[in-house]
Amino acid sequence: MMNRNEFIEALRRELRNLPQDEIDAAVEYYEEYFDEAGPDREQEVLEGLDSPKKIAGQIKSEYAVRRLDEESGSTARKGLSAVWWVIIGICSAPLSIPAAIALVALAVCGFAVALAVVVSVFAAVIGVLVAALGMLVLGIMVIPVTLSVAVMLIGGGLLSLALFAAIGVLAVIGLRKIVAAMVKWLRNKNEVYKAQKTERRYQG
Amino acid sequence: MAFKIESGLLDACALSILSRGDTYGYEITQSMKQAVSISESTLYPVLRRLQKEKLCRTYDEPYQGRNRRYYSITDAGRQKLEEYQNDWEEYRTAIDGFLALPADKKKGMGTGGENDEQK
Repeated sequence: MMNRNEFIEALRRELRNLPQDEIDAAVEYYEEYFDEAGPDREQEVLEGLDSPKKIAGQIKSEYAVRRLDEESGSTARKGLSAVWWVIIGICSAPLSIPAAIALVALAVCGFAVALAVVVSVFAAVIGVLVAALGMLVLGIMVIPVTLSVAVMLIGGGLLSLALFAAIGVLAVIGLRKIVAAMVKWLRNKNEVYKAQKTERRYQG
Repeated sequence: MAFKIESGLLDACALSILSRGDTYGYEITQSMKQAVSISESTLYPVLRRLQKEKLCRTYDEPYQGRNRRYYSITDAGRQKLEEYQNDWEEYRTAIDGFLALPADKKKGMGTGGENDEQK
């Protein structure tokens, strides 16, 4: 059988998820209750009381119901502000629709530029490859005619091939990095969204 | 007792006790316990709810070197109590339609008022 202090401590522990003022109010009430009963009746009161777990359960459910009532009051207010947003939206349509079109156009432009950069990098890489192969083939072909030109062409071809390999590797690494960053960003956003959802559910 | 007293009735009874004068948690519990079987911990959530709904308010007064928290009914509380009393009248008449004992079977609890209602 627990004593008064153990009862209060257990109650405090069970209520730890509530706001501090709720915990304090409950603990004060039961402290006073024991004081009123007096030390002689302490055991009697403890037997008459439910377990701290059950008492905490009653307090928590009363708190939850109260919060729910307050919450539904505040969603009504939120609903009103939603109506206001719609009205503001309609009134500002002459201004906001062109602005929205401009924003969308800007986004499309940005995307096109990014795409063009990627495509041109790859075109350059392929161009370097083609030039390298061309020079090599031409160089081998002119060996019987003039050795010096052939050596120059083959040398240039090999140099271009090296350039192709270097740019190609860099481009692949860069592309990978960009894709990884995008995936990470999307995942982060999703995570934040999920966290907000659970928080809302908890508060509800 | 086969019937459980639940939160609406508890709120109503607590308001009724408070309407007779300011008092404190322990005393409210004791006077309710005399009439209906409730545990000593039933009343705290009820009082907390009444307080948060502004149907009663609290104030502290020193008593033997410690604090005693008094509960006092508000005007809104008195209005609510009246609502409860009207609702209860209605509810009791409805349930009496099913459950009231015929006058001749009442065992020693018939007071004048209740018998009048039977007719």
